[in-house]
Amino acid sequence: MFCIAVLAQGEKTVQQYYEEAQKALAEKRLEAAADAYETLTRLDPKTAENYAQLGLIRYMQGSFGAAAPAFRRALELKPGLLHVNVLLAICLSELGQYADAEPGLLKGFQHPPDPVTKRLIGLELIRSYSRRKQWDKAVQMAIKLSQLYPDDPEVLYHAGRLHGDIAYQTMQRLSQVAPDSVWVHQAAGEAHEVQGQYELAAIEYKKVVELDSARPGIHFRLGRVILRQEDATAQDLALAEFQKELQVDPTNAGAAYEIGEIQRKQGRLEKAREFFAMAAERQPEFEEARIGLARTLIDLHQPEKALPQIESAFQLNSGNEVSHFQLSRAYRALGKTAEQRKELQEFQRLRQQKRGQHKSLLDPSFNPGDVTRQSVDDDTP
Amino acid sequence: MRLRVPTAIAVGAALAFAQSDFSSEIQQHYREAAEAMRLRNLDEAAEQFRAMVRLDPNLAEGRANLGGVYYLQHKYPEAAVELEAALKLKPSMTKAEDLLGISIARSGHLEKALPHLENTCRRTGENELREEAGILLIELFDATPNLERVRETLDALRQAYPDSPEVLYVAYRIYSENAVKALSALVRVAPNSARLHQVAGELMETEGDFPHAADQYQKALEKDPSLAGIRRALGVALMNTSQDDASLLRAQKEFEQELAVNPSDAHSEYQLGEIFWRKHQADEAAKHYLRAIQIRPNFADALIALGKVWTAQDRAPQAVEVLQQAVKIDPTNEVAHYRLAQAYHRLGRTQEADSEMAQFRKLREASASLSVIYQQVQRKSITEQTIESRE
Repeated sequence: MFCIAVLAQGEKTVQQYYEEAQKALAEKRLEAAADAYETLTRLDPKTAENYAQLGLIRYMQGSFGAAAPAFRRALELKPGLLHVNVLLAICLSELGQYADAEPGLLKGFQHPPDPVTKRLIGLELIRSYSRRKQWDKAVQMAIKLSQLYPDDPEVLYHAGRLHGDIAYQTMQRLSQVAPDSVWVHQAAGEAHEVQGQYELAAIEYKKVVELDSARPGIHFRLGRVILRQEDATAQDLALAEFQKELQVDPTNAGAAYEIGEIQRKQGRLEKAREFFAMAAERQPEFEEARIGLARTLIDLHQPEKALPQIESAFQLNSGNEVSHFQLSRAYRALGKTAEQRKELQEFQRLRQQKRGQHKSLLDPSFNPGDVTRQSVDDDTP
Repeated sequence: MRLRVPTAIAVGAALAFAQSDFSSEIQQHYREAAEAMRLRNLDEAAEQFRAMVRLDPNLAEGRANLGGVYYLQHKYPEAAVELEAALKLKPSMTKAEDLLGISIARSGHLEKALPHLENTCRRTGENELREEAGILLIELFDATPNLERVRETLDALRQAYPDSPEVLYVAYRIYSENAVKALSALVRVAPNSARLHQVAGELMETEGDFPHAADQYQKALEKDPSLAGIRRALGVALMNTSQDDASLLRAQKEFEQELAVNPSDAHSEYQLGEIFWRKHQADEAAKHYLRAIQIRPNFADALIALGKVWTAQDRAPQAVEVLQQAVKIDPTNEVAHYRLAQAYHRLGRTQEADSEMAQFRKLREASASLSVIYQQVQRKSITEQTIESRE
């Protein structure tokens, strides 16, 4: 990674030690090499490269406390010694001397010896900023690294940890400035929701409602977690919440959509059509609302009206199996057998593909407050 | 992410566009609108402003006020139409632009709202809508996604409104989502990596499932024996799994091995101190705490631990010194204040002890209100200093 040339010394003893050090290094006997360089620095204390090499060996051994003074001495003797300042900065960072390390790390990040070191320095900077609670700079660096190395597990790991830590710090502050506030309860509800603890989430959301029943979005969230509970009355209770949401915020397309979906599932197709249309009008790029409206129109024997809705859904996402399935139903209703077959095949292909995909606990598609996804489960032939 | 819709805008602000140099009929409608607004009768106010606009569609103030009322009624698409018209008639109406940006955004057209929201955020002076506009900008950039702009806007908001619960909540949401996204990407790109096992272990630790966390760390170690800190993580999980001698011995070995490959790992030194403290070997514990502090002078938990040992060994003056340092480094650490209070008490410095105890109680109260919400993001890489139940 780093190549620090060491000048051969004229004196015999020095030469012997130098050769001994080189041999030990070649054989990866780091401690022996370090010993030889320690002696060299005593015999020839004015040669910067000896200190630099000693520092490098200590660095490779993970002995940053021993490496740092060697690098420092090397720089005192020869300030321009290539990359030594970067190595010193890394050592200081490893030793927790972040303030001292940062200038060197920043320089190193801007003018790195190589891409591998740039990445390492970036990770050191994230840690350094984090430890000094300079969250803004830490996040900035994490974003930069994520852009430079989007598929690097190490970068992703540290970015994830950093954001998690800041979320925690932020919640600490929130609980200090506004304990028992709607914000704290809402955040708690969301945290429960993400973990699939819908009953607990509902309790927190109800606390928010108690504090501020006109708070936009809260009835929608409450309705969503009620829907997810396996309860016979869930749909009706959720429906009431979605209706309250629309009273508070008539523009909430998600609430209109959920009402449509409940009405559809309960067989009130005209009502379903009305609310799906409302959702699609309020939010034209609402894919699920388009699909819901299309399937309702098909059920209402208006397949020709369903086609433009599915077209809109395709424009938003051509890889949604449900859209292909609903299109096949529309074609069947219109007597277009060949087109129907083609769409059905595409649906089956996509479904097969989806089954093969790894489903993760950390599914990024999950978002509290999301809507009920359109599925084909209840009407697949 | 769906954020809140503004719940209240000062009525006065919405009426601030009113002028007095219009026809008497228009003025009559204005007076009635003003009265309706005073009585919070928004429907009536809207009706009166509509009548004004019918009489003079080029009356910028009338259209702005009508837009303002629609805004208060959460009729954002209608508000956007009126406010846009008002702004065309009189571009200097900055308040109308503030409301327009938010109304367009609330109508679901975030991109169209962008220039207006940015103008609102850029304008200086008191503006109750800037916070709202900033939050909508974050929503917009988050959807794009443009992480750098999210960060910039969030930082500006946090600087302008450091104690705003809404801004803090939005920040919490953004950071939580980013954490989940990064870890999801890790699942995608390296499903069998050591780091992923480490993440799994950390998640299990947050749930208090230390035995399985230890299993995951063990797997991570098998995948990548050189992974810095993994042996320490395993050791901590083992210590949390059981307090019996065998577990402590196994944990001790892990910390020692971590130090063999990573001699500057102050956390492992500290953990060794914890093990010896639990074994009632205070001198040995102090040695490791000291070594941890030598490696990392700002290591608050190690300073607290050393303070605890020295207080127990009747070395209160030295304990006060390190505990004061710990408090300076981490002023919100309740245990640091508690231990410092104990050390002061030993020295008979009652007033200072009381002050530290008061600080401790205040911090403890605040931390007690932190509930399960933090568990998903909170994981400790070391055994934190605590106050034991018998104390």
